Amino acid sequence: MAMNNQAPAALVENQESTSLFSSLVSFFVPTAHAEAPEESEEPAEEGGEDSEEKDEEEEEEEEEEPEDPAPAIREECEQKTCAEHVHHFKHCQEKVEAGNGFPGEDCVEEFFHVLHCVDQCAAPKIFKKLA
Amino acid sequence: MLSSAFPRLVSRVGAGVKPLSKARFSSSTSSSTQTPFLASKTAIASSTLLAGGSLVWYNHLYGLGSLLPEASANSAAENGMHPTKMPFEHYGPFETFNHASIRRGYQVYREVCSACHSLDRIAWRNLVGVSHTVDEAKAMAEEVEYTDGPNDEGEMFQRPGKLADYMPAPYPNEEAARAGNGGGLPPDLSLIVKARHGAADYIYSLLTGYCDPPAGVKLADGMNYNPYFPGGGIAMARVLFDGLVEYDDGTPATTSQMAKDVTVFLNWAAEPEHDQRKKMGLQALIILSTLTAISLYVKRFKWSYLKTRKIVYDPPKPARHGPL
Repeated sequence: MAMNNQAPAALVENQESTSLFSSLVSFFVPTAHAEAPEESEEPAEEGGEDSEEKDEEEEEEEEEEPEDPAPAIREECEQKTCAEHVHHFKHCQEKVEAGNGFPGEDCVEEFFHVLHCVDQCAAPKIFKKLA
Repeated sequence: MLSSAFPRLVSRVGAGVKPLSKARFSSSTSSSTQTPFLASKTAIASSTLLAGGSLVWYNHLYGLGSLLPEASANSAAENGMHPTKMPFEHYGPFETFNHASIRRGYQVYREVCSACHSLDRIAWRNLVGVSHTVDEAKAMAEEVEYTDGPNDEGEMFQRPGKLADYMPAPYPNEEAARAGNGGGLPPDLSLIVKARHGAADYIYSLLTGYCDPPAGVKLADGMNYNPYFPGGGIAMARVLFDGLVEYDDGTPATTSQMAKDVTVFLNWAAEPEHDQRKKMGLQALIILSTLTAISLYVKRFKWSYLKTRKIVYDPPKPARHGPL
């Protein structure tokens, strides 16, 4: 049921995305065509591909469709609110990875400080975007 | 020697009992020139020997390690990252669960978690009126085969599930579960929200918290790093990825969304009385506040006579001078 309902929408998006992709490609790789026959061929090709790989592509598209808001929000928090903690964490990482720390040293505590800060900053923002 | 240690005591006792006092008296006279026993070298040597000997004997029996409290350094890593309080909808004092979220969370549990985790204490009937209709719950139950019996011939038989049946477990027993998961036992999720420090916040943080270990952290074989898990090394790998399930209601199934939904579902599973409890809280508030208001009013009413009375002192008229 759900598949049937969402199929048309996915198809539309599919077409949009392919046209967007082709426009992107044509932006980077400009090609000059002798107008009429080439253009008439291209859409036909695309249509054929679509019909062949329709099912697979639909599933792929639908699965990759939702994008988690969390990573972007957390990234922003890391850069703005928690810059100080991140600085200390990076310092520790460099030190330990270079082998300059005392034996058995790890950066867990520094990492937890970063996490604590980022969680506090990001939690309300993420939950605002969730249903 | 007692008399030399406590001469006054002995002399007092001796005053009552004649023959004993004589004997004591004579002995004390004989030892009066010696030092008291407790101050003697023999006493010191023997008590030292006793102390040392008991220590050696204890060590022989139990080992000295048990004499001292066990040394334990609870580092931040060993405790695990404390989860931040998440703004779940049901956290307010009068807020109910988000039931659309419970329904989606059940779907995530069914399609993802139930591959390894059981949900022993939840029956199909529990879902009715919470996340699913009766017919939906019945249909879901019928998809599962349950062993029932014995029948008239004394044999067990398979039948489709009904509402009263409990959720099927992925493994028949603990050993099978451990064998299937590299030695780690996936805990039953019925009460997991109540069973973990940080409750729902912890579950959400754990599900979304998988990341690369910081420098210097060594993980055992087959372990994954999760800062929220005490110790950091968790046998369960990250399972939630964007678009893993497809929600009926069209909600985009992002990692965060699925983690939130399944957390709300598990919170409901652990506290199915939650909504009713908060409703009763409000009812109790109504009753108690009404009774308080009534009692205050009645008190004022009853006391109004006393509070509004006027006490007037009417002094007697001064006696007239002169003869009556």
